[in-house]
Amino acid sequence: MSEKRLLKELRTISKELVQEDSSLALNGVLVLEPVSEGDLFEWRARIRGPEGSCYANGIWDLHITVPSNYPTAPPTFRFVMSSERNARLASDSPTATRGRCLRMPHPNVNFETGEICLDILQQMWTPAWSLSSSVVAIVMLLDSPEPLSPLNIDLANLLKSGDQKGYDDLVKYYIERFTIAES
Amino acid sequence: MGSVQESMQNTSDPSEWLQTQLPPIYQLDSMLRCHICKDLMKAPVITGCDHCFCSACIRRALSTKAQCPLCQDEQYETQLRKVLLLDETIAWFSKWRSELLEKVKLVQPTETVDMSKTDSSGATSSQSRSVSSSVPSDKPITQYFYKSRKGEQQKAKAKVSAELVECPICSDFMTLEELQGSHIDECLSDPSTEPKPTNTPAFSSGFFTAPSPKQSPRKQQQRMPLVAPKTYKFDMDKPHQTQASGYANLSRMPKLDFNSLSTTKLRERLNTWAIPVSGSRRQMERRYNEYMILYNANLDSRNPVPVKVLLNKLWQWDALQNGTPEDTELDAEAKKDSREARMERKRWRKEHRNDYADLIQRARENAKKVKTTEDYSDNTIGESNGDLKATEVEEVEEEPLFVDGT
Repeated sequence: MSEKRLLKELRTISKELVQEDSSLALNGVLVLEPVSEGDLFEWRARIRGPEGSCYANGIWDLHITVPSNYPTAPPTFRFVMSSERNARLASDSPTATRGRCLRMPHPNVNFETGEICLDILQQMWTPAWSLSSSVVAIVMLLDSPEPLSPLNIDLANLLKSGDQKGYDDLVKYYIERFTIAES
Repeated sequence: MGSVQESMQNTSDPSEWLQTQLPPIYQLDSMLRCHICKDLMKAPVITGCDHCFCSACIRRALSTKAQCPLCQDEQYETQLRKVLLLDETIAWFSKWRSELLEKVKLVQPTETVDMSKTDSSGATSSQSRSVSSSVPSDKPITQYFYKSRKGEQQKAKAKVSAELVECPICSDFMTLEELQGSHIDECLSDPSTEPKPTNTPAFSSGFFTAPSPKQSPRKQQQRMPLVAPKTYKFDMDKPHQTQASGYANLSRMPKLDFNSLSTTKLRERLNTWAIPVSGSRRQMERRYNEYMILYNANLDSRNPVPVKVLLNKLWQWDALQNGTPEDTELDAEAKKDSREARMERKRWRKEHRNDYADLIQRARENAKKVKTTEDYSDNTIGESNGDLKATEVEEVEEEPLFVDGT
C-alpha cells in the first residue's frame, strides 16, 4: 500500500517540480526525489531558505526515510550535515558559486545531527500529509521557529529574550561559515 | 530503475487532466480521491466530521490514532458510514476515466520534442493553450463534442427530447399538453405503472456521454448495472453460511482486546474467521487486525468480494510483513540465541579472559583509591570529586582500548 502511494507521490512531485509556479517551487523546494531509482523508501530533498528571512541565502539538503507502514506512520526528515573537513568554503572563494550549507542553525533543529522537531512530523502527523507537504512545512518552519520546544537551546534563548537582531545575525554568520563552494 | 518508471506509468493522478482540453476535470478527479492512498476512493465511507476516505484506509488510520486525518477531530471506527452515491459516482468515473482522457487529449502533436516544456507549464497556461491551440478557437468545446456524435439522427433525437417533457411517474416522454391533460391521472390510477428504465435526458444529452452513441449495444449493456438496482452477489464461505440472509446482514468483525485473551482463545478466534494461526502471538494479533480492516472495509464496498479473495489478500500482506525491518530484527535476535552464537560468545570470553581480569583488577584498585581519598579528606569534597572523575575518565578511556584490541 505504501509503495503505491509513494509512486503516486513521485509522479505528482516530478510533474510539479518542473513547473515554475507549483507550490513546491514557490516554497523553495529545489529537489525532492528518491535517493536511488529502485528504492522508494529513501528520499532526498534540497531546499532554499524562505525569501525575506535570515535563511534566504542558504541551501540545505534533507534526507528522508519512509517507514514501511507509511502513510500511517510519518517519514523521518533530517538535515544532512556532512563534515566540512574537505569542503571548500564559499566564504574563502567569493567567485565560486555557493553550494549547500553544512549546518542548520535553527532553534528546532539539532545543530550536530540535523534532527528536526516539528509537531506534524511527530505526534500531529496524519496520513493526509505527504512528502511534498512535509518538506514545504519544514521550509516554513525556518521562518517561524518555535523556541518553546528547542533542539538548539542557544538560538532559542536568543529568541526568547527578544534579541531578534542577534538571532538573525548569528544565523547569517553560521550560514556564511558553513556554506561550501560548489565546484 | 525500470520497474519504478514502469509502475509510475501505470498509476493515475489528477494532473493528467491538465494536458487535455478539459483541465477543470483535474479538480473533479482530485475530489474523488482518498487523502490517504491518493487513489480513487474504494468503498468510500464518511466520518462523523463529514470527511470521506477509502474504508480500508481510514480504518487503518483510525486503528493507529482515533483522529480524522484531515481535521484531527476525534473519530471512531463505529462512526463510519458508507456513501453509496459517492461509490457509484467513482465507479462511473473510474470506468470511463481512461476513455475520457483519451477523448479529450490534446489533438495537436504539440512540441513532442520538447516534452519538458509541455510539463513545465502550469495549470492556467496549459488551460489556455489547450483551448486555443488544439480546438479551433471559433469552436467551443461543447460543439466539438457534438460533432463527434454519430449522425443527424442523434441530433434529431436531442431536439425532440428538448420539446417533450418527462412524466414524473412513469418517466415516459410526451408533449406538455398530453401530460397535463389526461396522462397524469391515468398514470396515478394505474397501480402497475413503474418507472421504466429509459434513456433519460440526463444521459442522452449529458456532456460526458457524448461518445455513447458510437458504442456497440454491448457497451451500453455494460453501463446498465450503474443505473439498475443492485443485487449483491456474495459467495458465502464458511464460517458465514449461517448468516445466509444476504450480504447486508453480515455483521462486522469485532475489535479484540488482546490483553484479556489467552493465546489459545486468540487462536480459536482466528480459526472462526479462517485466519492462519502460524507465527508468534504478536504476528497473530497483527494478522487479525489487518484482516479486520480488510473484512470490514469489504462490507462497505458496493460489490463485496468473496471471503476467499480477502484471505488471499491477507496472505499477501503476511508475505510482505516478513520482509519488514522489524521482523528481520527479530530474526537477528533469534539467531543470537542460536547455538552458534553461544559458541561465539564462549570463544570470545576465553580469548579475552586476561583483558577482563586486568580491567577488574584496575577497577578494584581505583575504587580502593577513591575510598582512601574519601577517608582521608572527608571535608575536601571537591578534591575527592575530582579524583572520582579522574577514575571515571580512566575507565572510560580504557573501554575503547579494549574494544580496539579485539
